[in-house]
Amino acid sequence: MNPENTDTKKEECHQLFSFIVENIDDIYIQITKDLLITYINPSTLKHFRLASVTKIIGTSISTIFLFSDEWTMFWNSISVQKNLVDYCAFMKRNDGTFFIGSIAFHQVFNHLTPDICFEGCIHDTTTAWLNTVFADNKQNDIKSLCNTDKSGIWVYDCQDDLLFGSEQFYSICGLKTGEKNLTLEDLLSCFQPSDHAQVADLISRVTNTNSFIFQGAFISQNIEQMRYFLLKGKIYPNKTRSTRVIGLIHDITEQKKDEQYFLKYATESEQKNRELDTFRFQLLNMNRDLEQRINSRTRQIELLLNQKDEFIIQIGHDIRTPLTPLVAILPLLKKRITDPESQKLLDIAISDVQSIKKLVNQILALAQQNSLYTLSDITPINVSIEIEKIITNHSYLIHQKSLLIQNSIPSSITIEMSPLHFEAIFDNIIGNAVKFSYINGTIEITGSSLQKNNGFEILIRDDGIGIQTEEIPYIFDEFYKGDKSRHERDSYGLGLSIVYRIIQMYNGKITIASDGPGKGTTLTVHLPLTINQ
Amino acid sequence: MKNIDSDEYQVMIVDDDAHIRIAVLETLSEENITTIAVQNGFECIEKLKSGFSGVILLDLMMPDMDGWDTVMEIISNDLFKDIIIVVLTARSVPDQKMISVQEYIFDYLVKPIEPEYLIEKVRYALEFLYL
Amino acid sequence: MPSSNNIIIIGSSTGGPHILKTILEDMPKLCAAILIVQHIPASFTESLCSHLQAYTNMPVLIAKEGDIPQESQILIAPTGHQLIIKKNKLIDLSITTRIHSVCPAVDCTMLSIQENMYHQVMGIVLTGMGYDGTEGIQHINAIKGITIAQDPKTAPIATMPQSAINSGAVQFILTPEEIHKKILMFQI
Repeated sequence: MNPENTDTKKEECHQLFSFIVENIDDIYIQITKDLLITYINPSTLKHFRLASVTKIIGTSISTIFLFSDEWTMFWNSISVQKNLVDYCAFMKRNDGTFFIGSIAFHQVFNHLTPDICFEGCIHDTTTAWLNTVFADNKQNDIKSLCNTDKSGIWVYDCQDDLLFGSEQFYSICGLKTGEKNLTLEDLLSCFQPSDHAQVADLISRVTNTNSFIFQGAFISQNIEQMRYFLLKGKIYPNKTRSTRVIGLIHDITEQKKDEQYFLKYATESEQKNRELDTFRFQLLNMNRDLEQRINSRTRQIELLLNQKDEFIIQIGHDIRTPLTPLVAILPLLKKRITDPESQKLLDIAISDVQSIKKLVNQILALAQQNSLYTLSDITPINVSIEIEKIITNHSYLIHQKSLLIQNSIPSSITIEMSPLHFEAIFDNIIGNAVKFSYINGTIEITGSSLQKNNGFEILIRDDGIGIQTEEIPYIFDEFYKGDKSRHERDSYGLGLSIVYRIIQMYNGKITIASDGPGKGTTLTVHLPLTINQ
Repeated sequence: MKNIDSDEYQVMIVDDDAHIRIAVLETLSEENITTIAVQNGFECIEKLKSGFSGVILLDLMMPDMDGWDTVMEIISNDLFKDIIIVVLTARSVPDQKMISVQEYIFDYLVKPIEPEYLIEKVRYALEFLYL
Repeated sequence: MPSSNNIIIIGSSTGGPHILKTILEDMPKLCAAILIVQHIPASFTESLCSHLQAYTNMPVLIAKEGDIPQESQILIAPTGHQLIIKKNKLIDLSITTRIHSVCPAVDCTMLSIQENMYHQVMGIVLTGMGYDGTEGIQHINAIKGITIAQDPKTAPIATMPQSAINSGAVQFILTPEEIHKKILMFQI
């Protein structure tokens, strides 16, 4: 190999080496054989919080060691063995804080001086090292805790009463770095005065087998809120004379807050639960109470209904009693009287008595139902047949007026309805048609199914006296004066307003139309074929 | 077996209302059905004890001794011989207590009743009785 | 004599005889036996028998212990006995207790008919007070027989047929004339 090649190679290696040294995060230091610092890389400044290189160049490397005995061990190893790897020691920063470094140094020959010198790296191994020291079931705990601002490390030299802390330790305890040397007092000041004795005692009693955990609270003056700290302490394993205690301090205020919040929440929930239980109990009682009241109320109502029914039977009896002789005697009288005039008068009397009899039956039947306007007693009704029956009811007047009644309702149509309601509706409508027809008039009754909405339409048309156009809007109103059916002598009396209401109850429709006085009237009724519409 | 056209009384109307008694008497007399009228259950029992046989038209709603009382009295006095009881009442639905004596009630007519209908029903009962 | 394959059971109370007359009037011979349970005093059972006999060609008899209902035969339950059909189709009159305050009760008779005892069963409830017949009709409906109630409007007393109708087990609500027509389906 020629000298030029060697030099080039040397240059290349040097460049490579320089690049690594300048950019690596780890600390790289060169020292003389007397252990004076000759070179540091940029990371060194960062780790040791040094403002400038000049401050440290030429000083002894001993200054980076927190503990003198650790420095001594370092020096012994280097000088004797010329080599030291993976040596963990406390590194002192310029601001008074520390970190734990993993140190590797070896002896080299410096061609420039030329003389023996040493070079080495230091790696910040604080977290890993702590993991091994404080290793327990909650290793993950430590790792994550150590990485946050809420955990600080401290180390206490019992003999010299010296306390050192990491920078997180300083911020947690509200102390300023670089101001002074810390003592145990500074650690204790994180806790309430009443706890100081206990903490000091715990620290002093830390031995190889004995570690401690302590939780306390403190109101820090700077921050003016209650903060909680978790203190852990263990003996620092070293081979020299001193008793050192290393530990962690966690600001668990957040956790504590959460804890308290949840506790409060749990207490409130418990309270709410108890209240709910009370309410539930009250509700159950109220329910039982209510049920009892409903039962007794129902019984009262049943009693009242029975009384009402008895009353109606009594009234029925009282009305029907004088009717009976009339119904029997008038026809007899008619047979015995030969005078045609008198016979005509008797016909009128007989007709009236029939009206009363029908009315009484209708009213009593309706009254016995609990309400005219409730749906009950629904049965299938053949419309054509029932309309025929109703027409027969009016046969006397129909015959008298020589009316032609045309019932062309298809015999297949059946609707579901209360027979009482059906009769109430159509007896009234057909009765009116008969009443308001002229002599020899015609009444047409037609009906058909409505395909689209499963309904049924019936039309009752007469060619009688008709209705004035202005009166049509009011014809279904209650107490309508124009409703002649309420005033005329042989009214069968339920009135169009009641008819209207009954039809409404079945979700049906009724409309009335007339071309005017003397031009007849048409009533159109729509009803559903089945009830469940 | 009695002849339906005999002169013995065939029908007894038991009703507290005078007009109804008169109306029934007139109606049935027109049809040559001999009828007597009594005002109450007591008189009815008396007549039965005196040997009346035939159709009894019995009102239910009477004071002191109502229709049901009368029927019970007839049964317990073993007077139910050669008689048929047809109830003639303004009460459209019989009282519950009537159920226990329903077999003794041959027919049930509701007032007011058309005369033709009354006659038809009475004739039928007489027919049945004198079969 | 062989038992009838079809059976009709009629329950009837106050006002019944007249209705029965309308139903049975001119009734021809039938492929069915008719059992009539009429609430009537003992002294009138014979009269009822003779009375109905006048209107039909079928023999009208008072049922006796051990009888077997036969086609074209009308049997009337004797007062004071419940008319029960045993599994061997023989009539049993041994029970004399009142059911629904009556004896005979048509419920008793109807309930004694088992499914598959007869090819076709028809139950009819006519006029009357009380509720005799309602349970019987429900039973006949359940064993797939034909159930009929007299149209309450045509009944001197509507309670008995209405009660049967209210149970929901009545298939046909008919006037006496319509009941007559319905029974004709058993014509020989």
